[in-house]
Amino acid sequence: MTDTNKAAPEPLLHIDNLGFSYGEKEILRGLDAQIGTGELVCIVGPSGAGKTTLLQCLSGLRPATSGAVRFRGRPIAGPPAEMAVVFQDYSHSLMPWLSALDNVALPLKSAGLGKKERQQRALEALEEVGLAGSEQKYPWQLSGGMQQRVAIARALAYRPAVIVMDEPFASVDAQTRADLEDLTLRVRQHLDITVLLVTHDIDEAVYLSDRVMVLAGKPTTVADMITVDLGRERDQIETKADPRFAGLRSQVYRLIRRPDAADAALAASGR
Amino acid sequence: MKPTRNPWARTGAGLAWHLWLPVLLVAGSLLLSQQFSSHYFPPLRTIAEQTWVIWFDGGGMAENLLPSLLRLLAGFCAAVVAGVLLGTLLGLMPRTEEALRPLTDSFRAIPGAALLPIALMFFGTGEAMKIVLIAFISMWPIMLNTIDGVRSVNPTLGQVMESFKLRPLDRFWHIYLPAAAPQVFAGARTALAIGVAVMVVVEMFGTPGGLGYFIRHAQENFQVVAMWTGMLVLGVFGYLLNALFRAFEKRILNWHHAMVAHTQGASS
Amino acid sequence: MRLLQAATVVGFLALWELFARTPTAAKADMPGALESLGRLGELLLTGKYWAALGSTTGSWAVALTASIVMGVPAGLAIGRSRKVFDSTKWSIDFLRTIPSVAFIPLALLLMGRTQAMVIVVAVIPAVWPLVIQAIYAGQQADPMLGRVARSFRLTLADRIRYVLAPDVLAFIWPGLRLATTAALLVTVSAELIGGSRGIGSEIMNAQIYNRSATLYAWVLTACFLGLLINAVLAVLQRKLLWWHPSLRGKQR
Repeated sequence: MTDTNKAAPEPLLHIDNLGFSYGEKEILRGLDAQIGTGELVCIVGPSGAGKTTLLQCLSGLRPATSGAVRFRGRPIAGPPAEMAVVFQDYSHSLMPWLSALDNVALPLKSAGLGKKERQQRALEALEEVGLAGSEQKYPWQLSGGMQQRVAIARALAYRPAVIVMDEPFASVDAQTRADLEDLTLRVRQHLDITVLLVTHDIDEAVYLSDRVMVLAGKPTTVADMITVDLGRERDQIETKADPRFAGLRSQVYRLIRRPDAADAALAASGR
Repeated sequence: MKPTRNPWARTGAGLAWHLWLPVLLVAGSLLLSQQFSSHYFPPLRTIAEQTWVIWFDGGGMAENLLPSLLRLLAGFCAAVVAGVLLGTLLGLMPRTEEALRPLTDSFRAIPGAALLPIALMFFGTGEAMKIVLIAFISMWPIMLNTIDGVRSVNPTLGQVMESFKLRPLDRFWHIYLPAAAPQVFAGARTALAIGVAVMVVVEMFGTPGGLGYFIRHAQENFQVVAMWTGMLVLGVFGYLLNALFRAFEKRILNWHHAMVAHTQGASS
Repeated sequence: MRLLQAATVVGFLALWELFARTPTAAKADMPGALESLGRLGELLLTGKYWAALGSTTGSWAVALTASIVMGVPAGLAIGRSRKVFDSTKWSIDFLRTIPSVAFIPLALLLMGRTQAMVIVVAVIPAVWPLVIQAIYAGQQADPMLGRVARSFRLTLADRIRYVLAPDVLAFIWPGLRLATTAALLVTVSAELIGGSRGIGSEIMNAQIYNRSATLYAWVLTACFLGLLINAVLAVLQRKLLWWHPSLRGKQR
């Protein structure tokens, strides 16, 4: 078991005793975690655990009610310029009146880039996600998986240090999902980017992650941070056939299943 | 519909179905008005001839049609700009909008013509009065529809704007305006019809020049044929304006129509 | 929120009162809010006020009823048949774009300054939106519902009452709302231009005789009448169309 305190000396993202309540109702309590540069961390937990809320706190879309999130040592008080978000609801996160290219280029316009550079970067990003040739299509002319690729391209073109993805593959079919998972791994490898990904799918979390942040309990706490020592190269068939994969998978599963496991894990890690 | 083998035959038949009634109506009134013409309903031929004499040969276009068109455009454009800006602001500030609702509800409830004397007292009978009144009265449907349209922006899109730090101007031009566009256009279509009606009324009371002025003047001097030519020109004016507006709307809302057609095609 | 809205109204009246004291307003002979409301109070006690208000409301109501009686069946009939629809499309498209106020001078020549003149002119803009919406109703009125009704062996009366009428009403409603507004606008316009008795002519008279407080009192009356009509429509919509998805939860 990893001791979270021994992560990289200067974490990119530092979650410090984070809590969130809707009025009386406490959703998140005392979350601690540190995410290093270049890591891919999946946040996994049962539905209704406040995963999306946590992600919104991390990306500055929603202020935490207690504790803090620090990005490069500074507390987050709004969406940081070095962070880009990919939303679950791709059909509503893209502008139906803009072509794929313009969807990707719009945030760059707001960032003050010239027309030529915007185009260039957007085209590159679309090519990166395998959408070369579909630049001029409107989102509704693309399949769900392709729409989510556009959303990923939009995040990539923004050239962030961190990409935050909220259940990005939850509403696509299984084959597309596998493709998009591998796309995420490849892009992250290629561009050396930090990725935070929320999912409720344990297989997906283990397959993608360097570390898995398991959320459980009511209110939600970090049940454990599990290091996935499967190497950087992953393969849909081979990785998933690896006995270690099965082991990690059931480890996460048990943590989520039994909320009291969170306390056991805390006790075991000597805190 | 049953598939017809020859597409030319089908469009030909369709055209015939579209055409027969208008042709019959025009021909019928041509014949009837020739035979039973009264003082108030002069023969259509006379009206047509006089339309040529007054409006095309006699400079009626420049004297009365052009001023109408220009002031309508000025008033309508002002209404669109004001309606969209106010509507966007109020759409984004729901609490303010609700607090101001008694006022907006009241202003839009006033039958526009009732404001004419007030406008006359403030702005006189000249161009300013006409344009201000056209703009003020036709602004309301645009504003109300813009409020609804801006509110229809999906919350996810709101988060996209936040997280990608879109500038306020980019949000307005690239998110709120296009999202509200279908509803803005629906409001603007109503506004255009109201604008034309207000234009005619203000011209009837204002300084010379304009279709409304011409028709009223002809009526007051019992120039029945001239009055009819004015009504004919006004009818064609209204029709063309509406057609132009629809063509413009179709062009701007291209993405919207294509999307609707696409999703309907996919679901059926 | 109610309190805030009340404050808005009071604030508006205060602004009006203040503005009325500026030179700009003085030049336009604008009375203050209190003076106008006071004048309205005085008018409320006169029979003449109610006669004029009744005349306008009556013209409007008759015009609207006539538009419904003529427009809805005609539209439904047109919508039911593709051939009739094709035949009438261009004629309707042309006729409905003619601004109705253009007919006021003609109506004045034919009928003089009568209420009938006002009614005839007000029918013209009110009938088209109803026809158009009724055509949609005729074309699209849910055929599925008809089959359901038949399979449950509903009587003809029940079928009309429970199946046809609500469905058609939902289609016609937007047209009805446009028609009420248009009919009121043109009723007041026709009174204003033609001088037949009603709010419009009272406003014009007040302006001609320079009674500005009376003028504003009448404009307020026109506003209240419009508000009342909108309120009645809103209540009807809640009572009759609460079930319709596109109208559910909408207050406007």
